[in-house]
Amino acid sequence: MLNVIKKEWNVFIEYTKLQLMAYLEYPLNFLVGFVWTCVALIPMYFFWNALLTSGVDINYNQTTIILYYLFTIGFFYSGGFFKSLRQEIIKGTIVTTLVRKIRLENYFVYNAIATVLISRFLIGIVIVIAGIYFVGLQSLLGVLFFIFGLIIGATIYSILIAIGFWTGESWGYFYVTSIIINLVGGSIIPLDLFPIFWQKIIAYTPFSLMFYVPAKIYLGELTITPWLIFAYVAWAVVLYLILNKMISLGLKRFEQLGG
Amino acid sequence: MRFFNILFKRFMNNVRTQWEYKSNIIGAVAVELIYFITIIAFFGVIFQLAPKIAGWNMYEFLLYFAIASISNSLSHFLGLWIDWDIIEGHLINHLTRPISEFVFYFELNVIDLVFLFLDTMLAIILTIVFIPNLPLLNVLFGIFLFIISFPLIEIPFAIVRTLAFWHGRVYNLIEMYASFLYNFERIPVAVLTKFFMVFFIAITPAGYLHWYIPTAMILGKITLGYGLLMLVAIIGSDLLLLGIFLLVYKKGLSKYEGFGG
Amino acid sequence: MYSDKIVLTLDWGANMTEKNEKTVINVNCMNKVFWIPDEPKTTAEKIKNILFRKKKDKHIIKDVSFEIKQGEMVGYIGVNGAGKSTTIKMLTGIYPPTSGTIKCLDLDPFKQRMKYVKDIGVVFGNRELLNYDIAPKYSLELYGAVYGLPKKIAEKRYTEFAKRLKVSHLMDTPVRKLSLGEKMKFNIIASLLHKPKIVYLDEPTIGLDVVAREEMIKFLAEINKKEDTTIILTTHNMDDIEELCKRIIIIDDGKKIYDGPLKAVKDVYANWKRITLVFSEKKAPFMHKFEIFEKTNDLMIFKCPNEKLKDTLDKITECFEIVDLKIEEPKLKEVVKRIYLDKKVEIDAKCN
Repeated sequence: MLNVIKKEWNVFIEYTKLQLMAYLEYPLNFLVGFVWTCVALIPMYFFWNALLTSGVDINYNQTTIILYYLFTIGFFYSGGFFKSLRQEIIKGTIVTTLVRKIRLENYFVYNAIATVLISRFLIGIVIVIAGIYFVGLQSLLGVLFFIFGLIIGATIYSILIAIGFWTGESWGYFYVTSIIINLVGGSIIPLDLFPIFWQKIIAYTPFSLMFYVPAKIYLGELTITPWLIFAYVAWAVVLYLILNKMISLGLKRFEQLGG
Repeated sequence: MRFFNILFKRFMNNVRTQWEYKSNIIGAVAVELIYFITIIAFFGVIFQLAPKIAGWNMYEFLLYFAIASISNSLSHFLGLWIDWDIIEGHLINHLTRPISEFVFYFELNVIDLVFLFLDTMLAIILTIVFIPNLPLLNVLFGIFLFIISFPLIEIPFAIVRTLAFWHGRVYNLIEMYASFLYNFERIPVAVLTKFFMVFFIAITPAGYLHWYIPTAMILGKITLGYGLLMLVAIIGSDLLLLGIFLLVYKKGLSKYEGFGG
Repeated sequence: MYSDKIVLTLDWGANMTEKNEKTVINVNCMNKVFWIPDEPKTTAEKIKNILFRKKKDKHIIKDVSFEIKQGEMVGYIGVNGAGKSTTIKMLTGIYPPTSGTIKCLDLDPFKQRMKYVKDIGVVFGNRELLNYDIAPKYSLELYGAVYGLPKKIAEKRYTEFAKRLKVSHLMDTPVRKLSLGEKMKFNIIASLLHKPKIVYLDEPTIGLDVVAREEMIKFLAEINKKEDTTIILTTHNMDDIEELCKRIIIIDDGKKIYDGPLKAVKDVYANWKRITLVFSEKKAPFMHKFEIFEKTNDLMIFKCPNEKLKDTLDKITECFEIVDLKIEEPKLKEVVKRIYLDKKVEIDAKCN
């Protein structure tokens, strides 16, 4: 078991290195996410400032709301990040991966995680520094739980990519789901501002574990409990099993279409 | 005339292309409607906390968003994909045709027209149902300002795309430029302090002159006098940006060395 | 066999055409220099390289001169990277030359591009002219409109060409479902719709099978005959142009090293065959004076002059128990190498 984990970890590191090399070909890639986040925070700050100064009573002040958005916008990822993985199924270039000694589901998940980690690395440093300064060292746990949430998010998007075995060139389902994930994941608006009815429904989905929960841990407003850790592990396992099943069914269909 | 004839034929070819993948048209409608729902949810949650922000209510914010979306859909439809044609080598073919290569740059994707239709429906529903009794003169003048300031959103992107003559893949530069603009798609630039307003307007005049001013005019939040002053600013900015674009493009074309042989 | 001295002059081509004609392409001392990215060495260079890429010059075309008359069919040959495509792009007005002059149809292709391109047709072998997702007839209609042809005339022409190239039945099939050869035929049709005076075909046979290639070459020969169209065809395969072009220009490392009849090149520099012999047993000694490329216990690859081919084959059957025998034309690279090695070849270039 330990050997399997070690081998998979090495494979993941290799894919991360490849993504990094691809990124370094265009060094501006690093700046893009950084600039986008910084620029996005400015209107958000003034908008929420205007809201908060009008006397509303919510669980956020100017500092915490900006930290929340720094975290969720800074670490933001969506369907567009994984377009190239989706294209591999559509164009059929997935065959070059199928002849290698890696499970396709692991290929998708590792690449998805690596893509986000590398593109968000620079802004991640800012998020860590801001968290330590304004909240304290415990904000680092928020970053750690973001990575756990990324495993869940990468698996979810890999499932969406695998649906491509059936849908081919159609992209509507991919982006519709992506937009919904962003909303119920808490990256557009903090989930604790939603009506209680919707909060209860969203709590039964894995999406809040991707952005909202890590952001709240980052702000020091959520305690880490064994149930929370269990929720992460359980969702990761369930989603991986779904992905595994979809890939095996999808590959059968892929063969029928002549590849 | 021949130029428009060819544009029309290219558009019809795109319709035929998209018809090969009909589900994408349905997908586009679904994507746009879901996106509207998320934006309405966003403002719905915010405005349950306060009736107005910076003097704007929820429907006024939504109208601003609808107008920005109309502008985005139109600018995608008429987008000049100069960098794509440079990188993929299509420019080489275009330059051997007896017509301006610009006729081939326009995207003319029918899916963007679908988005445009839905955005326009949203704007119409908002103004008729939720923000009725708007003065006709304001509405007409606002629409006029919107049309005449359209180059302010189109040309800066074209300038950035033209940098592909020197830098090859400029998608990152486009994203960085877009970050200055699209972050104001939901939130009018007027919520900022004067310093940041001037900063963002200098980089992306479209955010203020093409989105905010026409919306504010329609809603009667600025006077006609101010609107006329902005009209002068819009015309001046259009001409300035057009001049910059033509200069950069001509320089780039003279330095064009092709890609991929 | 390399003893003949061949002096190549700029007006060699004028002796080669049977038709009389005015010069449609005049290239004089054409040079082209590109910049390419250079690897930064020092740390300071690496940092600067993030925003301002380090560059170095690459001299692609060096002092090339030639003239082509109306109605000629010229093969422009060179190995990969020799500068063929770059030459075509300058002749079609896409890039200006770094120095030298180009006059096509009495126009400067780059400066007077719009006036010039209405009378040329171009097919770049690795670039698609047709819309991938829809039937070719829609793309051809579009090109008809681009060249200002009335719809009925464009339709008549592409229907006729499609019939001659045997692709009429594919007019309504989406391009993505066509084979490479079929796509190339439609590309050729698109480039000939408007009766161009000059047609440039840059590696049009790349990836085509023998049948598709032959059909295309036959069609081009017909067009040249009926419409007096000048055809410039670039390729790295001499077999491609043998049936079509009497005259060839060979370019190597950006320089013109030969301009004249294809027959002369074949007679002087490619008048041999490569014989690959695989044998199981040697029955008798095989006496020869041939150049051996490779030799093992059961394989021999050697060079055989064409005039000795019959006798050599007879001798091989006497001396060896043959398992396999292959006879091939010399590769273009080898022909070019021979041209260089023949120190008596002089190129009369008038550029300084």
